[in-house]
Amino acid sequence: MRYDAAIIGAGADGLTAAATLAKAGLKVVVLERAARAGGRLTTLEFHPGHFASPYADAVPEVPLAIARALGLDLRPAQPLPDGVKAIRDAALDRAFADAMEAPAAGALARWLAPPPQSWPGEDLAVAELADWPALRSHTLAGRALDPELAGSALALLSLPLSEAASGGLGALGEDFAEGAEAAGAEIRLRREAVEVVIAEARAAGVALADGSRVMAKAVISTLDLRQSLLSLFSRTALPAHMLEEARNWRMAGATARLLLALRRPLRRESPLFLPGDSAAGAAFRQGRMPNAPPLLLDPVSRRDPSLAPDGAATATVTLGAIPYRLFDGGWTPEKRTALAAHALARIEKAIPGTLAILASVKIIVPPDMESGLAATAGDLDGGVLAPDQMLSLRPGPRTALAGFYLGGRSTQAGPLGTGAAGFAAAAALMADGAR
Amino acid sequence: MSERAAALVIGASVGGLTTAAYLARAGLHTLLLDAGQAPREPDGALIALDPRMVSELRLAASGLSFAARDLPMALSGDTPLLLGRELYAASAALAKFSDADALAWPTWRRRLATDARRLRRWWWTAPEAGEPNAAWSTGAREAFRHLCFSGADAYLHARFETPSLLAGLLWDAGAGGFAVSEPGSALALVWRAAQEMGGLQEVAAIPHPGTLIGSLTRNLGMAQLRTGTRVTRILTKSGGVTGVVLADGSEIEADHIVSTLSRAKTLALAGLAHVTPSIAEARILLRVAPDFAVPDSPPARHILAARPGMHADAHETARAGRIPADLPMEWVTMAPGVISVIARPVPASLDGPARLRLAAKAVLALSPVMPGLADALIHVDIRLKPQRARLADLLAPPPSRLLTPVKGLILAGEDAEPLPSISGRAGRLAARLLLSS
Repeated sequence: MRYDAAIIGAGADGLTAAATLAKAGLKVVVLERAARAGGRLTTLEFHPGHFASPYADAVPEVPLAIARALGLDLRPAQPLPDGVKAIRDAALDRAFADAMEAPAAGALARWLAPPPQSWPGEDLAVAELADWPALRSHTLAGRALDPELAGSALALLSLPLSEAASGGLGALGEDFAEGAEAAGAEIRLRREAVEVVIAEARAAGVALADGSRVMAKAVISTLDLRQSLLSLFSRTALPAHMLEEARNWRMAGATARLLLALRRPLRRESPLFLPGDSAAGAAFRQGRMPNAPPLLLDPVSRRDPSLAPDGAATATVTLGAIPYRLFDGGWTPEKRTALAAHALARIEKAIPGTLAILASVKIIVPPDMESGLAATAGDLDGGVLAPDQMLSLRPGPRTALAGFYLGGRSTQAGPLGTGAAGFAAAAALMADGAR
Repeated sequence: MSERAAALVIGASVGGLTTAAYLARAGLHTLLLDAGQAPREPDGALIALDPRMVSELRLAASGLSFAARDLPMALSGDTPLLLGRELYAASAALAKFSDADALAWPTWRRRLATDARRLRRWWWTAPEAGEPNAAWSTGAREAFRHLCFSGADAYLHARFETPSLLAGLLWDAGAGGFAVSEPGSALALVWRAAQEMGGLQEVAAIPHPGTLIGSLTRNLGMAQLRTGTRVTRILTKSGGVTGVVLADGSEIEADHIVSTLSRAKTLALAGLAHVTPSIAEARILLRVAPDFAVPDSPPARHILAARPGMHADAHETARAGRIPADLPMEWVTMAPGVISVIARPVPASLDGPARLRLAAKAVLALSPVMPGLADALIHVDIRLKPQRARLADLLAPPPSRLLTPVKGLILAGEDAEPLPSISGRAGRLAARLLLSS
């Protein structure tokens, strides 16, 4: 049996791509390594009755068209300021337009070729996040970003705004999966892709870890750029310049999360942001645990009571500038505990009485993000959001290998909206369909 | 009735002297005002004098001569490394550290030269030249965009692996106050290469003491130099300059003023809002006993930066208002007994004790290579140049770098160059801009 498209990864991007293609009448299969669909859109019962999403509390805004097409139940997102919203929307339109435009016949899409004209949003590539004080906390949370450096404002394009109406991100993930299945896509769980099958210089299918193969006319990988190019192909299968670009693609996870089960509600209703000190960046670069990393405490059960038992509460702590690799070895249980203790001490100082109501803490550090999401180095952005890795300088959906598309966070549309990269990859695949 | 001049030039530095010389040649009644007692010698090594200025003002005939030209870059470390203009000698030196780097070096230098050649016209001869990339092929334009938006750390780490080489090249990328991860810092390397190509023999050069300032002063002609004259205010009326007020309270009227002070200082004098950068480059001049032998053979610009990561860390610390513990520096011998040390980044405002600490830090950093330096020290002079380069400065066409919101007020100092430097180019362009208006 041969599919029209095989999609690697059942996260928001993979499911959006699947739904888009299936609606157009293509036969689509989504291959997911984990036992459930949703990717980072997942909710965990980390303590009896307490639920939270391990990777994030919210994700970059789901474009309206995708939310409607998949029937998502979203909480109304807090609006972006007009300037940033206009830039984000224009950049997204540009990414979609480029994807929908089939390359001229005979002209091989150059690998990672940025389109010649300037992209919207390049003003942000030289602007500083410090100039948007109101958005600072949520942009800095979980990142190793210096808000005073030129280019830091680019992360505004990836501000987490969308969350599920109820049930945490996991409910949103289920919505995505249901939307894809309703459109006619097939989702196969516990199927780990290990290699892209190439036949006649085209991607022709996916080899799975269990030894079986899924054959398809085209393959979309929603993994990050490094995973997609360096681990899904044998060394000689791709042109050297493609591998070189992938090797130079910078990925750096910087996020650690604490999920807090609290016996009573926190004495604070709004999120609390404690900025990092000026040495946090240096510590991150040197692989040391920062003394005072940027910290965002979000009492999530205030917004969504379904995340905690009656009378109790759930909160999350997102820490930034946390190195993936520590200079003195791995993330041992002792180091995890130290990280949590340090963060809790800072919170206790800001909100006295928090420790007294603490029932349980779940600690998630960058290597956990990596193993849980197959995200290189635990990078949740699919690659550092630096000016030379953003907008047109991110890879587009097309690659030099015919029939192989990129649809993950590492691509142009990836940081601009949840599901957007999957939609762009599906659009590119359909535009190229005639070839 | 107050005095009147056709044009006023503030600051008798290389830029000011150049502007005044050009204006005087054009027959303009020009006054050159300087707060000091004599025109100021450059603080450090020159990065390529403007060849046109050198030939048009016949500086060589007026006495300009060089103590050292073409200073190679000397990198500190367990095994010292000397990188000069000769590509294959540098490559051979690098082979002691890494075969891959030895191979990559000549390729990269040639690539840099290509980029530099493309941008030279833009940086030096515009206004008439169009957009820098208007005539380029699509591929070249894409590569240029990538270069513009790249931080030097990522750009260099993709090419080289030797830590001391990376640390040394990142020092050059931090010129003007760039953080090495900021867009524009990779382009700063191209800018430096363009300066080196354009100056030919005057690359990273040290003039014989007094000969550069002397030869420029000899060119002043009808322009009048007044030392010990501090400007305390620039007078404006309905958006244009009308003159200046001096420290002694007297006024001089003029329709054109060229300032070689920094942009921030100039705008402050004119009573306009301005942004003072939070970080600075410290220029420390050490005078030592004449019999103290400075180990600088062959003469080189010595970069004291061992760790590639120290530049980013130092930038963060300096912005937070503290002198970085691990502070990158460069030193050259200016003349027998005179050592120029440049340290950056440091906070833009440092009080007396902090300046003293900084001087001690420089002496300490140099001591391992110059045993006995502390004992031989006679005189220390510290100047802070606040600076914070941006990509836009490097891409701005020359007239916009020279212009201010005030009509008739033009900049010709180090700030008016794409990246701060003493080349005389801004002075020549300022004079041309003024004469054409």
